[in-house]
Amino acid sequence: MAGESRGVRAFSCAQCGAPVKVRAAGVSMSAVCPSCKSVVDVNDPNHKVLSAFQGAWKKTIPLGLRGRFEGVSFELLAFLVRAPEGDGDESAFQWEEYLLFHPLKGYRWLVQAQGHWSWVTPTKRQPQLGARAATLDDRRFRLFHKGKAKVLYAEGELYWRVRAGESVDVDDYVAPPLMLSREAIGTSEVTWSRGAYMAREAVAAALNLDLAALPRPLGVAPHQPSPYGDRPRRLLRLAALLALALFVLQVGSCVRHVGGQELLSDGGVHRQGDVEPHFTPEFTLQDAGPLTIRLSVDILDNSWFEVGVVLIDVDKGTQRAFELGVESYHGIEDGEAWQEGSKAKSRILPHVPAGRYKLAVTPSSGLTGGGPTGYVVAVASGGVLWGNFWLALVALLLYPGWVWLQNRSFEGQRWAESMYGGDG
Amino acid sequence: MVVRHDKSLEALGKVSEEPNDLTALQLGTEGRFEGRPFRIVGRVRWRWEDGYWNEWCLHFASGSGGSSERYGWLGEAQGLFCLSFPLVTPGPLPRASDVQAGKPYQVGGQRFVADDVKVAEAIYCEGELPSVTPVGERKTAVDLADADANYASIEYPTRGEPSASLGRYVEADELQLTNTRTLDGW
Repeated sequence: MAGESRGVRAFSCAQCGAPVKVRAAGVSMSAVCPSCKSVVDVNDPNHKVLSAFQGAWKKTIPLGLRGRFEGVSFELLAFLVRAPEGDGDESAFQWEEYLLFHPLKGYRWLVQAQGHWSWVTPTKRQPQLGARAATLDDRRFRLFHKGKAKVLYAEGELYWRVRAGESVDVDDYVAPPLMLSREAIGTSEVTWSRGAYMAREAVAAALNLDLAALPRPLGVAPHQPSPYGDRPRRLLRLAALLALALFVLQVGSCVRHVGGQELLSDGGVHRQGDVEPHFTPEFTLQDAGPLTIRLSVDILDNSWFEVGVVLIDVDKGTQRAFELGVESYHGIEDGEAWQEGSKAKSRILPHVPAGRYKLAVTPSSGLTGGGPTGYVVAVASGGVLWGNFWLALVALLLYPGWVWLQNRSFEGQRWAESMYGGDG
Repeated sequence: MVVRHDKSLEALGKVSEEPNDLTALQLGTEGRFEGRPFRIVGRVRWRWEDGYWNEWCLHFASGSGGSSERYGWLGEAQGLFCLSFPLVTPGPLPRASDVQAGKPYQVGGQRFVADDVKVAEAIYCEGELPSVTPVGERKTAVDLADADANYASIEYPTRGEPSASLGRYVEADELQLTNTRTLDGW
């Protein structure tokens, strides 16, 4: 017979006589009297009193509500307050647990800690345990916390005979947004459950509650998904791909432009006071491309040497001017010899059209009263610019790096709460 | 279908009235398991120190596969379901006194972890059952599972040899149950 009242039972509290209603008879084992908070044995003919809770806790969600989760209607059967055992201040870390039931889906827990919600499903699957980790469905969960949890308070009906103050060993493993919890009572029962972080908005929607009725989350929950999601990883992967592409282009450029041939090597001697430009012989650049101009000097003693260079297209008359300087200093400081600078310097002009060219070279020197300075200006086709490559690389990594750092700081906050914190 | 109450149960005179337990299953509920249709033909309800569970006896229509088991069991505990078939030759089993929750054991050549060890008493029987389970009979029941939600159980009766069964945890959805009990609001 399909009964309206299937599973529903009511009786009087053996302690105070107030009515106690049970909604999941045959499944629930104990119920808390709403009036005197005595825990009564639902299945005992005399409804024996097993224990009693003290005081009253304010619930975030009223019992008896039904909410839609996993596409079906679950009924809220019980409310528990639990806290870590052993810590002096129990009120500081206590959390709320709501027990929900569906006849064909079984039990679920809706857990609220520091304003963070989890939807917890008991699982019979046995995770594989490793060192400070548990693996389930190819997902690795890191050990976050090991401790004892104690029942401070309960209301409603439960599938076991709850006792005030009873405690179980709890190990929590996390792989945000999931948490895997192992609860053990001695050696007779080990239960695993899988919790999924649930946004406060989703909880309010499922239970048709006003969002303002739910507390605002504080801090970072052990399995709270990072607000950056997998963006740091995706961005870094993208940046790595782009960097690789950039590198390939650069290597391509190297292959094409390195190992060009020398087109000119022309020397000169500069004397103090010379201001006239020196014109080099003409040279021909067969194919358009980069051009490397190199200045070198033989002797440079604590001085600098600079040339103003004008690249002149002999046929078209176009000109391109730039400067090229070298400097070299050395000395002894605190008994140690030092040297800096170099006696040669190159300049790469990235795009030079094919044509006939010559250079007008105007040297100037830091040597005062010294002798003449011999110098060589050499021109070669080819040349690879690295500056742009490095700049592009840095630009490429800037944003992913920033996101990665932000995410790292979030993860730092998460693991600061764990006794197994740190990298791993 | 004719429901045959077991004579020996009636003889014991202990068949209690049907419990008012919140379950969606009943005699006559039909479903499918891995493509094979079954019908619930019986149930044994067990009580342990801190709760109850139902063992629903499933009768499978004899299919083309001659070796297929005709009876299976659907365990129902707090909305968790496991479907298993008795092992005809269970092979070596651990001693009841050695079994501990959290430890690994071999059942039917497969490796499992025991997660539940309970002493239980049959408190109610109904329908057609492949073997006699008198109300008041006691057993030590061990539930085992592995990472893939495969399920095994070992049962140690107060007298006689232990038996074992193999199966897996199932979702009620996948059994495509029909003719279930109508429950208020669900």
